[in-house]
Amino acid sequence: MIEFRDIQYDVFDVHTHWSNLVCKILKGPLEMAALPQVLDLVFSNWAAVQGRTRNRRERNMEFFRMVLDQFGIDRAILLPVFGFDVEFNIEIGRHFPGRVTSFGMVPPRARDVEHRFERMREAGVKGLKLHANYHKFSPRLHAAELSRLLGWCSDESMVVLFHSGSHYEIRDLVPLLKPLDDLRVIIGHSGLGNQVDQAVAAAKTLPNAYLEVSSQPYSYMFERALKDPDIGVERFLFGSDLPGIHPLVEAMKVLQFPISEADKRLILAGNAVRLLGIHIEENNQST
Amino acid sequence: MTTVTIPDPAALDLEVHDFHRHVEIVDVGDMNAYHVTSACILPSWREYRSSSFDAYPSNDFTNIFWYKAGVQALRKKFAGWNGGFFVFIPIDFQGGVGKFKRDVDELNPAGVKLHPLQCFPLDKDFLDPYFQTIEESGLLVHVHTDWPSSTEFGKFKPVLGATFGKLARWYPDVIFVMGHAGNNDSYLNIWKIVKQCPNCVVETSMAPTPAELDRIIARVGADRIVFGSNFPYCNSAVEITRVLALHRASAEDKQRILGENAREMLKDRPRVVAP
Repeated sequence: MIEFRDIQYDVFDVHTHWSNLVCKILKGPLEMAALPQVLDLVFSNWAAVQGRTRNRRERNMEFFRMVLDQFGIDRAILLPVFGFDVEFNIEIGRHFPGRVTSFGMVPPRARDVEHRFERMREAGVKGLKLHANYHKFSPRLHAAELSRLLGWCSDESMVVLFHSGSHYEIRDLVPLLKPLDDLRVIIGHSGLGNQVDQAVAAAKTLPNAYLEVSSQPYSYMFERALKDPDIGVERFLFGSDLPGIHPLVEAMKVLQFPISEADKRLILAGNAVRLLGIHIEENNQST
Repeated sequence: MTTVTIPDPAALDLEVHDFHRHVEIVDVGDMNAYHVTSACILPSWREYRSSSFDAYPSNDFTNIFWYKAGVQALRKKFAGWNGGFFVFIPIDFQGGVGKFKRDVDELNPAGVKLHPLQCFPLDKDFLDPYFQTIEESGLLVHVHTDWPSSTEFGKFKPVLGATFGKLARWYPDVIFVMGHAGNNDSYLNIWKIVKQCPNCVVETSMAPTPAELDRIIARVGADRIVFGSNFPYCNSAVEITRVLALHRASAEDKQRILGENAREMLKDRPRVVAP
């Protein structure tokens, strides 16, 4: 929970990452990917957490819980970036069922794409994260492979979160999404800076597309989209891209929107709760 | 689970110099709310239209007449205001060096702003005459970053070192301000450019994460960072919160970033409105 001007808000962060790579020997490289306050929290509590957990995976799961606490995040969608994080991320979701919702990952062009998707389905993930650069696809060049995967997600009622704003044009994605009426899509970063216009245009065209706010600095475009009758407040989601981006700075964007307190609560948590059909539990504890 | 309180920048005792505001709307209400006592006024590229304001002119990089009119209006509107505006003019590359010199004489700017969308060539022979005037006039150079990377499949490459970094290395006697701190996909490792180029200062607006700013503080120093809001395109409270969230900065460092570093850089440079 966060508090601003004496008002408290639940926080459901739909864009977080964590990895089992967290270890002392990689402290230097981790500085490229994580906020210094996150690394300080982890490494200053290393011995204590090591002492109360049984192995590396448990230790790193506990660190993720502590990082969520550090920024007042009540519930989070955990997104894998690299293949080796997928099973660990799923495990975190099972370890903290009241707090973490795990998404999976399937590169659309993988030779064993069907098998990988089946594994995600069996694991019960609520959605997939797709990243054009890390997963080596282009909506224009690999439309058939991408459409096939998106169709499966639609059939299984999975949500798809796309990294957006770099490596491809959002407008190239829209024709692939338009025929999939039931597929719910999160436009991660809302186009970063440069493609904000395309992100808003996509949200206007696709009734099941959601604008996620992390790393998108153009507040004035968000204000337009909030007032747009074809988009509106219910199509916004709070995301931070933790641990690389600062959740409280991203939350401030939402707190500054010229909307009611009730609408801010929708963006910070309510819309995500509705989208995923889950709840923020009080007194979340490790299971 | 703990409740985390986010400080309200409006309620803090700050004295802010905003290194990145735009001429279309100089919103005194916003400046007063966030303790902005002086600001650099830059030309802009995007059309601005929000829920709070109606339509405003777009792209004063290519319509310098409008930018000049905006500066004159600013001068008239704020005569006697106890703050200061420092004007950064666009370079009219179409008009040539002679026109640029006349613009400098007419507007008495503190600096110039360059934007990659002006499509000026990164060619030292082409730029030398302009930078001769810049050096002679003691102008600062504010550069919008990033040069957007390719979105073509397999052709992504951060280019900031080969663009902004090249300019800063070509003209070591000119102070370059890295607008937007590298911006989205070029923000990682900007500390290396800052360290390589002692004439380079980073401006914070739109910086995707405070983490890279923290690395500059740890490896180069807090005196190489200045605060910018990019108002009205971005939100002043959000942009100030990013500075307040810096982890490696002391309270004194944050005050320097929010105001003192800029005031030191600008102390001998012309203001549009003198206090």
